[in-house]
Amino acid sequence: MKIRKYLLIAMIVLSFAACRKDKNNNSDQQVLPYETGVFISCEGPFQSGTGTISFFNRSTSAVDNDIFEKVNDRPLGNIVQSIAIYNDKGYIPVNNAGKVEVVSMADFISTGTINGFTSPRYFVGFNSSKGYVSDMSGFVAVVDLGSNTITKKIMNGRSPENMVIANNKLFVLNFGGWGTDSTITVINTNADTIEKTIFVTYKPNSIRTDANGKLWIMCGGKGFTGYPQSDDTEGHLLCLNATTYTVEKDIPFPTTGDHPEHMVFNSNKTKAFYINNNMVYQFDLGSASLNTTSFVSKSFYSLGFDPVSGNLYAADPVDYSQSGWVFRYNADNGTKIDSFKVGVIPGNFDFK
Amino acid sequence: MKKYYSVCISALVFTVLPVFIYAQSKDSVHTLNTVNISGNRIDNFAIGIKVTKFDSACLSDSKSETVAGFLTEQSYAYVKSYGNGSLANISVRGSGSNQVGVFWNGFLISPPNISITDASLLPVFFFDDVELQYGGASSLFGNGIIGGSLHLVNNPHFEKSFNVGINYGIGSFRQQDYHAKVTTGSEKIYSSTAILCHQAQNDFSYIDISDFNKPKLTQINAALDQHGFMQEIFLKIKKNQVLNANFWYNNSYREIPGTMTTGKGRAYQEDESSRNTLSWQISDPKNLLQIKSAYFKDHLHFVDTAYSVNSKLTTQVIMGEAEWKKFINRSLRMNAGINTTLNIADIQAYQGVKTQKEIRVFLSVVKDLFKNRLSINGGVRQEFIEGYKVPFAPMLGVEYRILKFLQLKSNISGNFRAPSMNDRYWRPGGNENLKPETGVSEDFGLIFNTDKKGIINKSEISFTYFNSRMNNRIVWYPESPSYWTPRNLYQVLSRGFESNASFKLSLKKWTFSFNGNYSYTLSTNEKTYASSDETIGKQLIYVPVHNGFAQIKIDRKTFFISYNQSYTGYRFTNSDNSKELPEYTLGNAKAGFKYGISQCMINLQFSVNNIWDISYQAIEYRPMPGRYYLITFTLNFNEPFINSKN
Repeated sequence: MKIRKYLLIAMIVLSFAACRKDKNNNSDQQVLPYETGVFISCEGPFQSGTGTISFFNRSTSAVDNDIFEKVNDRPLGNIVQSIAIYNDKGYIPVNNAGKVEVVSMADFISTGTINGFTSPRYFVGFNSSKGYVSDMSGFVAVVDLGSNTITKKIMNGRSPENMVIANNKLFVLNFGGWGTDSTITVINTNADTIEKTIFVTYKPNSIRTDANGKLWIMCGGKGFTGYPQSDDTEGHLLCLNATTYTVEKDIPFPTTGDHPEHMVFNSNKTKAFYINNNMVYQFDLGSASLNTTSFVSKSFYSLGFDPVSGNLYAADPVDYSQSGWVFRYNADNGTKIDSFKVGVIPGNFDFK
Repeated sequence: MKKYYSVCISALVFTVLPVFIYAQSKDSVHTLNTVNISGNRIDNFAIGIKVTKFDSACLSDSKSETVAGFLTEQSYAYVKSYGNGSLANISVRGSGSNQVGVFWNGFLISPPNISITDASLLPVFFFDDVELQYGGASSLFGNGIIGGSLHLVNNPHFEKSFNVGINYGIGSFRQQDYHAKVTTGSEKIYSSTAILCHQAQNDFSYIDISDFNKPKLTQINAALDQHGFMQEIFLKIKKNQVLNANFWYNNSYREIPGTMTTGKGRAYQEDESSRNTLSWQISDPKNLLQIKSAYFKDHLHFVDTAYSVNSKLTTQVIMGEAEWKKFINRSLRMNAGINTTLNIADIQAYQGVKTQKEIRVFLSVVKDLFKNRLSINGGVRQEFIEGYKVPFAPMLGVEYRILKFLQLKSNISGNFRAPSMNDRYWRPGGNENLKPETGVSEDFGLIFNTDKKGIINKSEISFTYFNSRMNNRIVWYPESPSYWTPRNLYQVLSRGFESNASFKLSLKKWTFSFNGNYSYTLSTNEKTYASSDETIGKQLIYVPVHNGFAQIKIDRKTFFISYNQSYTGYRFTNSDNSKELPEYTLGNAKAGFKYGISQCMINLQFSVNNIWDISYQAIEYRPMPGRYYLITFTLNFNEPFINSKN
């Protein structure tokens, strides 16, 4: 009887005395200055977590993760879509949080929050007082950069995403969100009204301006990579005249399984890099046909081109639930320089 | 609105009918052999398997709670709750919530598209018993029982009785509950009718830790409006035959709140389910044959106007089952059965109505030895699931009473889970080439217990070690950036132990009871799938390593007071364990008073949840309420009939 009582007491004590093992606190290095370097927006875990910004110092190769929370003592928010540096400010659209966070680029201290969005995707600066933010729910917001407020919503209704300013006009790609679209909206930047809707091929996803002021547009086509369906269409690379809005070149991809995306240009805007069929390809803008051999044969989520170092950056989110990786490649021959660990789901880059 | 009328009418018909039949059968008074009508196999065939049974006495203080809330407080199950009134998923021993089956009177009720039952929509009030079975038990309960299974049971009472229970609850965040149950019984018929209405705004305040100033905010878009109805009729059509029809309807409207990092919630969801079962059983002293059928329909409607999402999902399950229990002699018994199931899913993303047929055959044999001190259970099961080749599932269980106060329980079983219909048919992503998850799990438990008259009249200490290795764990993974697809990614190794100590002390009119639990769970991925992958050997996300609770209850005839303190250890939120949520501990207290006048019993109960007003996160950045209250008032009218009446 007595033994049982002691056993009982021992069990109760045991039940509550179990303590957690120590975990290694992977403490990061001291806060680095953000004078010059690479900023990587990391979406963060999908459900209810927060996205982050990682910083890569080119000269020391040091990586500083989650710099926004470190500096500002609060998380950025759910699904950090992109980061755009403009006039020494960083504009960070936080998709699910419906806001754009604004930071001072020198120290990354928060200088404001632009509210009133549903699902902001990308920021483009126009001049010292005006910028544009695309919102996937169907509008482009005109933002007053002085007061950090939305001054106008240009209703678009076609889930706008990537944008570029060319010929003093704003060109907005309507990707189609979870559906399908095939248009580009041209916005008059004086009146901030829709000037024209240009019909292109299905699912325009990236747009860049070349050295001659021509617009290059990557259209992914209907369907998903590696998931063939009967109504799929092939991707197209288009060259658009920014003044006449006519398509001057239309280079189709060979099969309906080709859904190219994430096109970036090199510094002197003569070469394009893009992702297709889980590989990276390179394209000479002067060339008439697409390369059939890949530039880097590895699957990536997105690309960035560093105009300072001339290197190609590629993001690997691994399983989209753990820390992602950024790989650096020599843009001339595609050899790997190095790789470093960043936040969860690295998605977009900006360089300073 | 039309829907409610039809429900009300059917409620009326079902309620009036049994009373009428009851009146007809009132005169016949014969004491009949009581048959064990239990629809599940736990009672006689779960040898060597750990089961915690919460009977009506255990559930009586928690009538206003959901099964999710009850299990959080009272079991080793880890309930991943998205907030008050929101989705709550059950995980047992580090499993996924799709590896825990929920059964109602022996029927699996998890909808086939996801194979997950939301425990926040299961009201404790509707059930007589709740049983939680721990560990892999595919052989006994079938496809997907890897973490464990939850059994919701309604029992008939073939004796003359008439009982009306009315329950009203009012609490914080504009919570209001109305419950009513009418049961009538005789030697020939038993009927139970239950109605439930639950409303809450859940507009609690919380500290927004995502803001620099950490302001106190009020939760918005978190309202819940739930209506439920359950009717059971058991008819003893002959001395040895029982016919049983059950109907359970649930309808809920829930707003989906945002998290601190996503901004305001705008979406809402409507769930509607109707569950109908019909069974017939015939028995003699050595045999029990049950022929059962079920028809379940689940409908979900999700609306997020901001993204123009308006999706509707409907699933239907038609099931037929025959089960035979043979008591060959005093020490040998056998259970054999066959089940056929047809799953039908009408889901937009499937691009058409999809069906899936399943056939299951199972057999288990129990042998008692050494004057019932040793019981051995051998079980086998083979299922045929359209589209997959699932393995044969065997099990071997042993229970041995080593000493009068010491019992050993152990089992080894082969388990499996076939992919859900979403895994197979969802467009884009659905993968037709998935393999079922398969593996082996073992349990070893020691139970010290005494059941004696004296001051300490009931005490138990138990310790269970478990180990489970599952291959081909299905994880939705982004095959390319544009869509996700399920893949057989992980090999999951779950191991750990559960310990429990409980005792009851009686001093004159006072009863003092204590119950303490602690569990240690390591659930890790053992297989790598990409060069940069760093998940190998890492704990799965949202599986706490440490989990426990302690409860004290003091009873005196008409009064009770209880206190429960639960502890949830740190959980990782990233698969490489680079980020974690801190541990938290919550205290809940309850006090109740009873007052009886002849056949009426009035019961008043007062509960305080999160009594220390802890600010915590169960899921990253999801607001949880601080301290909140609930007062429930219950009126019970009980008329036990005396046999000598006529």
